[in-house]
Amino acid sequence: MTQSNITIEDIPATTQGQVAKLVKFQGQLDESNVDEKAKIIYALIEQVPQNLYLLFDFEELEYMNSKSIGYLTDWYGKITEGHGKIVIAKSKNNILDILQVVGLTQLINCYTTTDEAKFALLQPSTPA
Amino acid sequence: MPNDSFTLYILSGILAFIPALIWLTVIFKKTKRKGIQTLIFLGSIFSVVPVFILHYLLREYPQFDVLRLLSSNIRDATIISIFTYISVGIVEEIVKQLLIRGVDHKYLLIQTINESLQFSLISALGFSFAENIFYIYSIYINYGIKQLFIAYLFRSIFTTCAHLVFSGFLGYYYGIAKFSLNIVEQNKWLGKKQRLTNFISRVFGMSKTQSYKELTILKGLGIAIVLHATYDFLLELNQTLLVVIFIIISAAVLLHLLKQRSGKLILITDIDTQKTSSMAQKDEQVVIELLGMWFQDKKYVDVIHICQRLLQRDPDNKVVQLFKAKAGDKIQDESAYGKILKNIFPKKDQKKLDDLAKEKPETLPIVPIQATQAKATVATTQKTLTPTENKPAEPTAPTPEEQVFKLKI
Repeated sequence: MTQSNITIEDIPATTQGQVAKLVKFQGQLDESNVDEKAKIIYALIEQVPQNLYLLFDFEELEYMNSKSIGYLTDWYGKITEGHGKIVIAKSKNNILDILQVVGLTQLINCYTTTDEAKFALLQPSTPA
Repeated sequence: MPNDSFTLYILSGILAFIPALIWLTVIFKKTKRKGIQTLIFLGSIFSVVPVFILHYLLREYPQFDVLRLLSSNIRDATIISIFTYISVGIVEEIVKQLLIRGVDHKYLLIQTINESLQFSLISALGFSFAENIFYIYSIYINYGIKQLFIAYLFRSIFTTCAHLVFSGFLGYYYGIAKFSLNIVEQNKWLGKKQRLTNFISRVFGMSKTQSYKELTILKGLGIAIVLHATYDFLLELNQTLLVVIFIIISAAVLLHLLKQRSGKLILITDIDTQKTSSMAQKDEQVVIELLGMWFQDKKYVDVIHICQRLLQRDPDNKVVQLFKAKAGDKIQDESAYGKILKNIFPKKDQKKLDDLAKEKPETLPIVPIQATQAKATVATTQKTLTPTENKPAEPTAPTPEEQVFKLKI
């Protein structure tokens, strides 16, 4: 099985009611481990079904297979349904490339630093 | 008398040319390469020659007539008829296709699946035109002008159409076989098992592409022969109405195949002019794998959009072009009868990426978290991105003369 690790840390929220987490991905997500690792995120979404704000740190994520991209799309759908948000930080160029071609960068903003991503995650959006 | 025969043949030729010209006009409306197709038509007129040579040889050397040998051992006239029509179908379908294959092999004539189908139609038309000359002549000589009129009408419309349909199917599958490299790769990404292809590949020691190619050509030939034999058999039973319905349905299926977007793709790749991808191969394969998954999940709109973005990075990727075309065909198929079906069997809508993008929240209402006891759900990627007064006449084995001159192909 390919090595992969997911760690979750709390991020201090700026608005009451928000639950913000930093999710750090390490290694490679492929056929051998993606289903098992995806359960961690699904468990988190189930635990916090509303106002969940996730910052995905992809700095140490070397590879994502097609299934993991499918999961990412599904997580986005579930979290936004619960009025939450996802952002991505420090993604490697190849993964950013894949996300751009798939169209996920239109849904999930990607940032080069964790601070930028945190700021964007916790900042309330301006009303339409 | 030779002069009269010659004049009759000329007249037969003129009569046979009228429906051929009408059919050519209909086919040419949909095609671009009219010059080469005219040459194919003229060349295919001579494709009847091997058929007549075969008939002549079997008459002169009956000891090699396998059909006669079989007939002498089989009593059931129906089975003999079926064998006859299958053998006629095999010979005629192969000779109709020979010219196309020969020219394509030498000059890379065929660039798309549709072109293979269209060239096959033209070839069939030439064959039918030549065959009609002999039929018109012999029917006039043997049965007179009254019988000729009905036979002429029937052969001009239905028999010619039948020739086009049978060859069209063979041409379509020949086109797919020709571009089997791209299609086999697409099938791989779609997760199709291709067990028979793999089996043939192992048994005969050939590549999967070659195995798929041979199987597809055989499939096309098999379909053409079965259709051909069915047509002849129904005619033998004097089931004219059934014959007409049969031809109309077969033609409708062929027209549907002709309208497929994937059929219009230029799948020939000129390596010298092919642009390289601006995306790393490993990353591109991840995206193509995702295309396969989402195609199976029927997310056709998402597939098309991803293909559009990917083709900006790798414009000459034929597999991606195929995915885009096939997704477009699926959407088109769905829009017609799919809407009707959805009203009868309403389904929970799968959210598309575009819908999610539109729903991207502009405001973030703060809702107090309420303790919930939702059940654990783990999403799994779906594997799917499917008388006795009207009793028909008893069939009799055709005589050698009747084999040539009966009102059938």
